[in-house]
This record gives sequence, C-alpha cells and structure tokens, in this order.
Amino acid sequence: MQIPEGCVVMISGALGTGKSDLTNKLLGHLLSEKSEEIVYITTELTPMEIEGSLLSSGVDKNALSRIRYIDGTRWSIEDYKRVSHITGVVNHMNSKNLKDILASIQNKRVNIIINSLSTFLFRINAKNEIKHFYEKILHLKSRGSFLLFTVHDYLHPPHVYASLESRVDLVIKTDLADEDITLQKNTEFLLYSAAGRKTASSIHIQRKCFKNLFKLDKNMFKKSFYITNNLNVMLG
Amino acid sequence: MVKILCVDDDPEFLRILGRMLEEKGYEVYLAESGKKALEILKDVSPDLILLDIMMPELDGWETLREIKNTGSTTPVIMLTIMYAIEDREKSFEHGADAHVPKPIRKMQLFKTIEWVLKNSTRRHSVANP
Repeated sequence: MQIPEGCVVMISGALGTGKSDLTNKLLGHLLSEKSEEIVYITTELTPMEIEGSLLSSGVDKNALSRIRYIDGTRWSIEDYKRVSHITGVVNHMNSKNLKDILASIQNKRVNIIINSLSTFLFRINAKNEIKHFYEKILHLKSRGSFLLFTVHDYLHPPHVYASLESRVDLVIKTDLADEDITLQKNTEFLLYSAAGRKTASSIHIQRKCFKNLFKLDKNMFKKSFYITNNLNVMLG
Repeated sequence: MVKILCVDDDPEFLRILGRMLEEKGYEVYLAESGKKALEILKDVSPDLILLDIMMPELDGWETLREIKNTGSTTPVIMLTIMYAIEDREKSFEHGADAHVPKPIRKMQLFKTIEWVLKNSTRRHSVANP
C-alpha cells in the first residue's frame, strides 16, 4: 500500500472491533515506507502492546526508535523503562491539551497517530471544538504530514461524527461480522458467544480487512471514501 | 464492587440485562420506571446508570434531567434505538455520556461501560484532584 503525503484518515467503530489493531498495522506500514518520525498519542495502549504488535507483524526493531510516544494512558514504570523515546505525557484529557500538543509539533514534518481521539473529545458537545481541532490538522496536512486518528462509536453525539467524517480524506469503519452477542427485547436468551468465538471472529475480520486494505489505490485517499460498515461482508 | 443502576420499563429485558451484568461482576440495581430510579438514587450512589429512553410517565430524557438536577455526576449511558439519530443527539444534549443501541450487543455494552467508567474517573480526578 502506498501511503500518500498530506492525508487524514479516521478509523471509527465500536469498542473492541479492532481499531487499535488496524492502527498498528498502518503504523507498521508507515515505519517501513516513510523515514520521518511518527508521533503516537496513545490513550488506549501501552508501548508494550504497541511494540509487541509491531514486532509480531515483522516490523524491524530498529524502526521502533522513530516512534515518539505521547502518553495518555498512565503507563507503568516498566513501560517507561522499556521505551526511551517518550516526547510527552498528557494527564488532562481535554481538547485544549490536544490542540496544544498539535500546536507544539505543527512546524515539524512528522506523521501523527491519535488513538483515540474519543478520549479527548469525551463529553464535548460543541462544534467549535471539532473546528479548532481540524484547523490544526489542516496546518499539519499542508506540511505533508500523514495523520490518523481513531474514534469510538457511541461516545459522541451524531453531529460530532458527521463533522469529523466530512473533513477527513478517508474513513474506515470497523465492525464485527456476527450477531452472536445480541440481546433483544422479549427474548429469554439470545445467542451467547462461546468464550473464544468472539476473538476468533474478530481476528478473522481484521485479517481480511488488512489484506484488502493494502490493495487500496492511493488515489482513494484523495477523496472521501467509505470502505464499509462491515468489512467482512464488503471486502471478504 | 462497581454499582450499576439499570432503568427500563420492560421487566423481562431488565431481568436479562441485570443477570448479564451480575455475571460480569457488577452490583446491579433494577428500576422499571424513571420514578423508581429516582427513588433508588436517594439511597444508592451508583457508579453508572443505564437508562432506557422510551418509558411511560417519565421518559429517559426527563429522568436524566431529574438526575442531573440533583447535582449527580454519575455517568449515564442511554439505551437508544439503533437508527434513531435524533434520539442520540437529544440524549447527549440532556447530558448523557454515551449511548448503546438496541438490540444490545453484549460485548459492545461491556466495552462501553468499562470505557466510560475508566474515562469518567480520569476526568473526575483531574477536575477534583
């Protein structure tokens, strides 16, 4: 897959549908394709999880030193010992701090990953917040930065999703394929998934998704493009 | 133990939801109406509230407004209809923290509960160090 310059990608989906895994896969491609540093603002994963995922998918260990972490997860001391290239720590999860972070790196040619943007936008209902956030993004984009962020479903008002989707170059939506975890009204018990089934299903979808995603032509990044609501069905 | 108050006028759904959450290890309180929920809240301080919208007498939004009027900062997840965009928008306008669409997908409900609990605490601790 060719990752173009000056491109903004949004990965959205419910919690547990593979957004972080997909993000790490794309991060692996960024590391192999581009020589710039990557600022990874993480509020979901520890570096151990991120780097473990990268190494298991074949990313060169030396390439990991080009990741600059900004910690929003309250890492453990062990995590800090493991990663020597930490750029900053975010203790206060709000949109102002996110804007400050982006402002601090806006004059550099770097690629940026925010996983997840939801943590910064949680309990925010104002359109202005999105507008201000995107102004920073546009500036970074104009400098050729590639930016990727994840957004969780169900945590924001619909207008927030619409506002974000209307501004990015590519929207990737993740979902699980099967409905075996559904609970419906007036039904005694619906289908409960066996312990391992959910995971197996999730991995299956992600693998299909990655395989097909890597076939995307870079021209797709130049326009607003929805892959699908259900990657398994549409891309499988 | 984390306490969750579930509010829904469908007793069967409420029973199944309650059992599901108890199996997950939560301490569960059940209310079949908004009015009953407000009564429970006089005695119990839950860590999270799951609140249905379509209920007779006090609907979910009116119940949410009453809860907020007490000064409660307990996070609230609304149970919304899958494609009802306006209901979702209105829920957030009334102060909901998240929503989960019906029919409920068990894993998504659990994940959303865990995320909201975690992030509400983080924000709360920032606001009140």
